[in-house]
Amino acid sequence: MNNSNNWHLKILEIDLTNCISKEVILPDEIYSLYIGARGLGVYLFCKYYFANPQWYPLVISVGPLTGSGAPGGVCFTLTTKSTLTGGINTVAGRGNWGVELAWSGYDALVITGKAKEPVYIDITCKGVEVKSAFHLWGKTTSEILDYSNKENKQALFISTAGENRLPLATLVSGGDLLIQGGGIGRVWGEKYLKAIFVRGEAPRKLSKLEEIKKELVGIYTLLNKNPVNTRGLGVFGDVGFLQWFALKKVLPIKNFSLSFTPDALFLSGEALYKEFTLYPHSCYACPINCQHHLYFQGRKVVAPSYTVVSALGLNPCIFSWHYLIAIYEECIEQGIDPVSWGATLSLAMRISELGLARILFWGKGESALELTKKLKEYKHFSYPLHLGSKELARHFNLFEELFQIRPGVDLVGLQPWAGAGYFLSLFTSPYGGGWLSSFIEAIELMGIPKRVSRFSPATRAGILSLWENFSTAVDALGLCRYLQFSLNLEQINKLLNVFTGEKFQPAQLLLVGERIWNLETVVNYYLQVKIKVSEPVSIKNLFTHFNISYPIEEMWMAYCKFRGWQEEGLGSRKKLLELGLL
Amino acid sequence: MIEEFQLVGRELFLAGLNNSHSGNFSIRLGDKLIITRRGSMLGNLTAEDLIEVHLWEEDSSLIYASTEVEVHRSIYRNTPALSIVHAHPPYAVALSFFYDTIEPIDAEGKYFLPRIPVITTKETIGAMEVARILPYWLSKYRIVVLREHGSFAIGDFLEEAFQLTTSLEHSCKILYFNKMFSPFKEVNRK
Repeated sequence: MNNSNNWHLKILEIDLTNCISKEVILPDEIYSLYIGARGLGVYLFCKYYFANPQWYPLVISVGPLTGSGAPGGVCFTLTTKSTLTGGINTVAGRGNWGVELAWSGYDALVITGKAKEPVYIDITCKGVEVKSAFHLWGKTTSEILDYSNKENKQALFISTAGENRLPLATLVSGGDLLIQGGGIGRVWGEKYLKAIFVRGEAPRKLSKLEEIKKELVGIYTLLNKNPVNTRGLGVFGDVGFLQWFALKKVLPIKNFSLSFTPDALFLSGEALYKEFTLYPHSCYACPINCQHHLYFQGRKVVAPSYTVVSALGLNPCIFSWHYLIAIYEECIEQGIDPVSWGATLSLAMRISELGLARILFWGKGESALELTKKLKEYKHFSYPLHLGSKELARHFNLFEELFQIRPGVDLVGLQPWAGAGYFLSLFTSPYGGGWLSSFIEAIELMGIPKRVSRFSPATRAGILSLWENFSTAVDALGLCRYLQFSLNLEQINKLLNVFTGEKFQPAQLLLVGERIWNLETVVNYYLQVKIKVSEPVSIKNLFTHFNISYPIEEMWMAYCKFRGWQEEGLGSRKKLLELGLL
Repeated sequence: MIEEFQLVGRELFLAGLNNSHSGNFSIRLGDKLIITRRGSMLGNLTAEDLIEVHLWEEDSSLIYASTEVEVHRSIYRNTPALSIVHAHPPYAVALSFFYDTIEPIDAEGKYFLPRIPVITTKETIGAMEVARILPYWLSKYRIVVLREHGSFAIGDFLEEAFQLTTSLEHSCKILYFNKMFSPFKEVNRK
């Protein structure tokens, strides 16, 4: 690539088994094909996993725009094999940790093997060291954050849930959780990897700064004028979307059995705004300020996002900010994925309602908080709550109340029937879908960038595959998905070219997205995680309950045609050759 | 209410006062307003294209409302207007490049809209500057033209604000043709 300021052209291999690390130079063409972040993540995972599955590689990668100063350029990607699905797991992280990694001189870290005792990785301008983490093991989030602040380094780490190898465990970055982590905290726990501390050398040097500023005037105008940013994300955070989804009656309430209740509005962005003073928190160089802090019980805490509110508030019917924030804080302290935990709580409430056990009841925030605190001593649990909703459903043989389309991935945010394309996306996503995983929900429910009839399946396969490719390309650049509310493909492509000096074409960028998407699907295929287009019984019952149906098989066939896939969900030989994957 | 919105939206489009996705209009309902959705097709509105927004409080519905919603809010807060129509009438916009005040010369225009101020702002689309100054002008005139951009009309009824918009464009058209034909005006006149 022309501009080595944006691509370091090298990665760091860290072998935890032998506590050694080495730099590896990657060929230029890999960057042209995969760009970075999510693309580089899946490429490197493939390379290392299929060379030796025992390595169980964990790839952490940044994109060319991470830490570049581009608006929204703050994302990094973690790629590994999911402990929940057995397939590929791609988790996007935001915040300053990724920025520091980008400034440290590596495009990716590939962590293989398993340490014999707890370790942490320390990356500074002086070098990389794998150090003993005995003094950190057992420490919770607030303690690790104190430690990293003293050391003046950014930390990505597991808390006690990860150490205990709970399937619910996720990572903490900058005091916030990586939502829908796919059990990534457990992978770290298995590897005895407590934390990665990073302190980058210096911000990326930008050549032709004046030219960049001039080129970016239009982009910043679009960002600063877009009401999604100025009147939504910037004021309430993404929980500001809740009121609209309530109006559309697509909220997941009472373990998905309701799609609206007036009580849900107690958890709207407006309600949060009235109850607390929200302090906007900006990621590096981003004008959107979608994150907020608030003071809760005298402490400054992260305001819950829409995903968190829907998982811990709407679904278990806990319509109280007090309990919701307290439970979320406890999740952060222990490093628990609120999506998985919220689904487990909701299922436990349903089990209690059915009289199968007395665990806790709908809306009982205090009991839910107590239960969350007790996750530290999960061995005293009578039921396998600490193993997540799937195991809990298995224990009670109650799969008709388990809302997972890809086994292991809990649905969150919206009713699965909220839109035809959204429903299809839950099957097609390589990692099981989630809030804004393909951006189709923004199109179908919010009319951004254009309104479509959300229940009409006819045109959805084409739109979905195109936006999946676009969203994947955005991930590969290291950009935040929320930029897609304001910028189209051409404008995102312009950002890439302005900051790197490359001459990518929009269609080329889309092709990169398609390549990554296909490679992730191929990896899943080899990991025996194949796409099954048949609804689980819980989803079938749900559709009957709400009197909605989609011709999912027809939609799937149309989707395969758009993608150039065979019916089993794998690219045809011609398609894979075209994408350079054969 | 939807029928009223559909009628005005369709007529604005058919009269060529907006392109397929431009323009917006609203009505006031107490401390709320109903405005067309951002990027909606005024010629083909559905119930989903009408967005209810609070006039005074922070409201997440502002995300979906027209880009000009702040201008509408400001006008309602500071004038007795009950309806607002914002359109991009081509003749009026074209004349706005050359006039500081548009003074109709046709009989009906002279009667209804003797003087239409043309206002200049640094930014014209969804700008806070426009939101700040338009209430002042719209408390003196029922319709104004924002240079290079379009018209804002107010009324007690949606139809009234719509009528003012079509009257403005009609008068501007006559003014334009008059200027175009003025080199010949002495030739055929007896």
